[in-house]
Amino acid sequence: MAAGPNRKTWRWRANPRHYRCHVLGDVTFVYNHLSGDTHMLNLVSIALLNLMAERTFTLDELAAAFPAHMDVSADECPPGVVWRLFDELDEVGLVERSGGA
Amino acid sequence: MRRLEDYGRRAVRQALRRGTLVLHLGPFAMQLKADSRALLAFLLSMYGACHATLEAGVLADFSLHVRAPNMIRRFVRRQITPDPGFYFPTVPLPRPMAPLALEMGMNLAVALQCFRFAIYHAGVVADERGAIAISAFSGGGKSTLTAALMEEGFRLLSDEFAIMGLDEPGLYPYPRPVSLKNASVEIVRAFAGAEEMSTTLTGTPKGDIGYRRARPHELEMMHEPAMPKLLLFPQFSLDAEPRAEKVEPGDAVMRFIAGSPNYHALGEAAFGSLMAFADSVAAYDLHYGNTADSIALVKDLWREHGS
Repeated sequence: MAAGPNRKTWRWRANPRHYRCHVLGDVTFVYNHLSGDTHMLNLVSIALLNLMAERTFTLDELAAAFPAHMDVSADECPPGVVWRLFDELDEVGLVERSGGA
Repeated sequence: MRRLEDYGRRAVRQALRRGTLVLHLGPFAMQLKADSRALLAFLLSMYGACHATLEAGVLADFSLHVRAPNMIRRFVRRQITPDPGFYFPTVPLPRPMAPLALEMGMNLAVALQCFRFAIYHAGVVADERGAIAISAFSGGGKSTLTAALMEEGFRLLSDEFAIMGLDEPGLYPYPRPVSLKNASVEIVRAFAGAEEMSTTLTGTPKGDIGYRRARPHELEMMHEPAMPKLLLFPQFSLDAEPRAEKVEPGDAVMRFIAGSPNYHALGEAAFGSLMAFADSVAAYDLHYGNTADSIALVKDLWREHGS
C-alpha cells in the first residue's frame, strides 16, 4: 500500500489477525492472509511488527518508541531507520492505517 | 489392482490408443493416451510393476495425451509432443523420443495441476528413520545422487517432486523412473545394472537421457509417506573437494519455495506444512566431484541427523 501525503499524521498498526508468524533460527517467516505472500523478516523488522501489534502509532510516535522497545539509544536507532523499516512493512501490506490523526 | 505387466501387450496397446489406460502411482491416477510403439515399450519396461487399469470410466487426477503436434507431423517427419490438457509451450520431439515426451508431460501435469499437495522440485529418498529431500538446479546432481542412494538402502519416493501434505510435513511417494542425463546415465547403469535401465535416448534437447526403473518394493510402499529429516542442496563440479556446509533454515526455506510451482497458490496450508518441514530438517549444501564422495557425505550427515 502506498501511503499518501498525510501519512505522518495518520495512525498505524499491525493487525495480528491478518498474518501468521513462524520463527526459524534468526529470522521469522510471516504469512500474510490478505496477500497470500510469505515474507522473511529479520530480528529488527519482526520487533517493529510486534510493537505495532500492541497499539497504534503515528510515524513520529513510532520513531520515538522503537529505540526503547529494542533497548538501544535513540542515536543508535534514528527516525530515518525506523521509517525505512516501516516503509518496508507498509509496502508488503503487513501494517495498515487505523484511523485519522 | 492389477499391475500393468499382468495385462497382455495387446490389451495395453489398445487401452493406450483409446486413452483408457490409467496408472495409479502414489497419490495420483494418471490417464494416458498415445499411439506409439516406443512409448508402449517404455511403459511396459519402466512401469510394468505399477498398478494400472485399462477399462473406461476410471476417475483420474490428470489426463495426458502424447500426440503429434499437428496433422502434417503425424505423417511427414513425424513428431510427438505432450498434451496435458492445457497449453504449454514444448518443443516437438522426433517420434522415437515419445518416452521423453511422456515423462515431460507427466511432470507438467503434476507440477501445474496438483493442488491437493504442495509440490517442490526435489528428489526424495527414505529409510525407516525418515526422508532425505534433494533439491538442485539442473545439472546439480539431484537425480544421480537420488539413484545412488537407492543403492545404499534407501527407497525412492520421487526423483522429481517432494510432494508435501497440507498442514503437515510428510513427504508422499510418487515412485516414477529416475531421469538421468548425459554422463549420469552410464554412472548409474554401472552401479544399478543395465537391466534396471531404459534404452538411452540420444540427441534429445537435454542431451542423452536414460531412466532408472523404480523397484517393486518402492511401488509396494507408494502409499507410505515419510517424515523429512534432511534437506540437501547438491552442487556437483568436477574434481571438487567434498564438503558439507550447513544452510541457515531461513535460506533453505527460501530456496525450497523458489522450486515450487504451486506454493503461492495453496496459501496458508502450504505455509503451515513448509514451516513444519523446516522445523524437522537440517539443511546442507553438498559440494563434491564424484558420486562416491557424495554418498560418503550423505552417510555422515545421516548418521548425525537420521535418528
